[in-house]
Amino acid sequence: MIATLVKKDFLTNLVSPRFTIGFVLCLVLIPFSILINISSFQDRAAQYRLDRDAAEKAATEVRVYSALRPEVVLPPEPLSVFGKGLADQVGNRVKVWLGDKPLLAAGKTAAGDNPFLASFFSVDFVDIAAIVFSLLALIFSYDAFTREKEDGTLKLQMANSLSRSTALAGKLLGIFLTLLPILVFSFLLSGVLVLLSRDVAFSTGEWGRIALLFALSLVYLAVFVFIGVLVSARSKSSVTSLVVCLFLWVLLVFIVPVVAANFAEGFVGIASRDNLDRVLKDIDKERQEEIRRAFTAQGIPDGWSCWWCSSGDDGAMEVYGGSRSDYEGFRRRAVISEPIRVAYADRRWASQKSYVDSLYRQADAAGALSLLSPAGAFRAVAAAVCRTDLASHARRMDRIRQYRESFVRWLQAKDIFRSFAWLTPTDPATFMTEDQLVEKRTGGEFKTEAAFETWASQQKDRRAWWSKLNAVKVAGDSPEGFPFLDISDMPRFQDQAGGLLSGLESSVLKTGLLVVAAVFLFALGYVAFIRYDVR
Amino acid sequence: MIGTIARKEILANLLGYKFYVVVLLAAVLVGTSLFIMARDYRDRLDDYGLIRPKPGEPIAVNPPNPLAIFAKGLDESMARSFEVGPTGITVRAGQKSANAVFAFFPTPDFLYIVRVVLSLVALLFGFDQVSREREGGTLRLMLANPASRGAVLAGKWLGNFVSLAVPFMLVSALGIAVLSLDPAIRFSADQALRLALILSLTLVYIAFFLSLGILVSALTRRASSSLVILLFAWALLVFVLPNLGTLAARQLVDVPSVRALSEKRQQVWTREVLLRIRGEGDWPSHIKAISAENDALEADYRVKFDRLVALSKNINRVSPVASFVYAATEIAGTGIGEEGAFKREVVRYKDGLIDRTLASPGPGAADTPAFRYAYRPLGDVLASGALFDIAWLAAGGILFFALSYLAFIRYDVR
Repeated sequence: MIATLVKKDFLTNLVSPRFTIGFVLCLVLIPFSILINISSFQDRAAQYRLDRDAAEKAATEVRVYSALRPEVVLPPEPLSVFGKGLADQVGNRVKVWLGDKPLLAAGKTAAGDNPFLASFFSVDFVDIAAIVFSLLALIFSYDAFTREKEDGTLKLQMANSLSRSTALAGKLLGIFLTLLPILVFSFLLSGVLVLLSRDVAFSTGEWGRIALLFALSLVYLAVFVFIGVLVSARSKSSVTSLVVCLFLWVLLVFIVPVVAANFAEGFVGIASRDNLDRVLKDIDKERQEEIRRAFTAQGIPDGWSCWWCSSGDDGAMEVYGGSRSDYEGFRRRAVISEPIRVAYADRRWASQKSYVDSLYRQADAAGALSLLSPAGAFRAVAAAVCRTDLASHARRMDRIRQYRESFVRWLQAKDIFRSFAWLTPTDPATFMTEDQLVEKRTGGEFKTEAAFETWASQQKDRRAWWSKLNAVKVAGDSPEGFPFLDISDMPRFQDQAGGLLSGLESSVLKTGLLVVAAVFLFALGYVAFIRYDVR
Repeated sequence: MIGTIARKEILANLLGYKFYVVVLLAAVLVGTSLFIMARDYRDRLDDYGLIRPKPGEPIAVNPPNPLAIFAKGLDESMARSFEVGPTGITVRAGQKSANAVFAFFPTPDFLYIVRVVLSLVALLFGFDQVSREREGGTLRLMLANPASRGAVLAGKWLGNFVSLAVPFMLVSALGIAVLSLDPAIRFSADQALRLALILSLTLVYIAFFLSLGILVSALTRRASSSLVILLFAWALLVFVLPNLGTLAARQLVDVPSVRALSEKRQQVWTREVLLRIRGEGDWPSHIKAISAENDALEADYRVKFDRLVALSKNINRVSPVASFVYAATEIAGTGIGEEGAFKREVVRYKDGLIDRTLASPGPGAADTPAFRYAYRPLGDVLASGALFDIAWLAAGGILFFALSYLAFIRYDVR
């Protein structure tokens, strides 16, 4: 009996114009969104390759350890072709410093680039699915009982030896059977487009995640089918049912998620970035003060001079052509300042963490509020499945911070702050005294530093000093001729993709919520239908 | 005759549940939206109080626009702080620190509610005008009287328009009245006029969708098929078409990225500084050169960007919904045109400051003129596109009504 009902409903739906419209709608919108996102993925992949090569070049072409600051460049997420999530909001480059822990990724983001271009909503498969699948589910279910009642077939049907449960089950199965081909077709079409594109390549795990997305879409579809059936079982005419369904659709899909996000933005404040910058500046000042005090305690003078050196941010210092005492002076400074710099990174992090936590808190509040709508829950779980949600980003940043720790540990294991390799590639065995240097540079004209100083103090034109000191070129006076560092044993950042289900722990609860909503709506629909006046 | 039919429609609407659902929905949504947006405006006003430049500081900041409560548009980007320095303009972050890890959502301002919800509501009022009465059998009774088909249609349109527009206007007026109790939110006479204009534009927008609903209703036999067709038309007009132009225009017009632009600026600066170090020319001439070159870069970018904006606007205007959004944001002073005028004003301010500093170098910071931006007068706004958008929206509505008359006179009322 039930098979007959299912077949009848399936055939009725199949010949109806809404099936054709739904199919065409998916045929147009889904390839459109997938193609746009594939092209945006290709842009990001091209940018990634440029950034990665630049970072690789910058990291390998250093001659001293103090200038070595690896930059992590995150590859674009292939699954973002389906669900963009935060992919456009957050950057993809993180520089690893000694005195600072990575906070947020830098780099090209759509939001920061141009406010006008970013203000247009970007559609992706998940957005289209959230809008279109829910609409299709309602369009096929709003008249489940009202249409048959209006045509008078419902009472004829119930005149047979047919229980209401069987009638309801037949109806629901008929609707699902009609929607399933549209859903399967949408996913197959997207899969084919991904396979055809040259740049996007999915691994087995990623195809598995697409399968999860399919299962999730089924649950989402079920929620809206049950909403439609419930409304239909509570209404007398199809038109009323359709009007109510549409209101619910607009409310659940368009209004609730938007209002939830803006409510969270208004009520859960975030810490001010300017404030954080001020606090960090103060901490930096304290750090400088502490380093200065330590220098004074050790009797190290404040200033320094050198023959050829380049200093940079974060304690970078590259020295050439110095005397043994010069090098020793720089080494003593680094031995004191660099451990303090590393220790202060933890102090900075305390303030940074409270800032970034406030960002996460606000986003989490918006996420929690958007669970009021099935569309919000669907989007949240879909973003997690596509690894473009906030939690994935937070995990990635955690891994980068761990990477920084391992980088710092690698430096410390080499006891590199105590080593001359921190400052100069010159072999310590070849270090010379001041006197030897002066003698070599002036071609033997002055035997000692003191002699040169005496002569120099009599000269009016300082340029004369330089011509004297440059009389003979001394090897190792400049970076030329020194090889780049061998950093083959430096730890590299590895972004593990994780298993099929990794990172989906919190999504289980949200999916569970959708399932519970579906079951609850089904139960309500069942009760409404057994009370339904079929005449 | 039209009056009788209109009265009948209004009374029928008053008796139906649809009317109450709509009024309740409109009240809740408009109330929520005004509440959220007024909060947002007050926050931004507080921030403005903090960052507003002291006299003599070469910083251009525009206070937030109270009309942004109704149509947010680009107000956030116009209310940023622009710091004038010798090398050009530094744009500070927004007045409100943005959450970088927050997914982007549209702002639920009054305009969004009208655009998405009110259009649907108008369609729901129009979709069954002809088909329901045919299904109920009252259409042939009505036309058995000496009532012309034109009068029936006009009466139906008028009755439904009134029963939709009056409650909506009441709800909006109530919302605005509550808003004006807030001492932080002050509208000038000009802004009040603009607000009135936006509200009347809303009525044109409602009329457009009501006519569309009646047209489809006169073309279909069943109310439910009419609604399904209208739903797809609604999705197309409100969501798909207004974004198509931007996507298409971005493929056609190539605009350099902001990053490339700032790198180019850096190059100009470095080149001039190096020239100066080599001893060519004097500082004022170099600063002038940097400023002029940056302005040229900015102007070149602006030309390309304006071309992109113009093209995407023109494609988007295929849907009168886009026209409505453009007209409303421009009238509110938060549109793309106003933003362009504002940016030009900031550049002019910078040029004026640099000329002053070069003319009389030294500690003359105290007499730095303060930056003040006067919004374009309403006449200019209307002339530069808003009037066309309004006319296009109204023409669309009239066209749909004319077509529905055409369809209705051929309609089999049995």
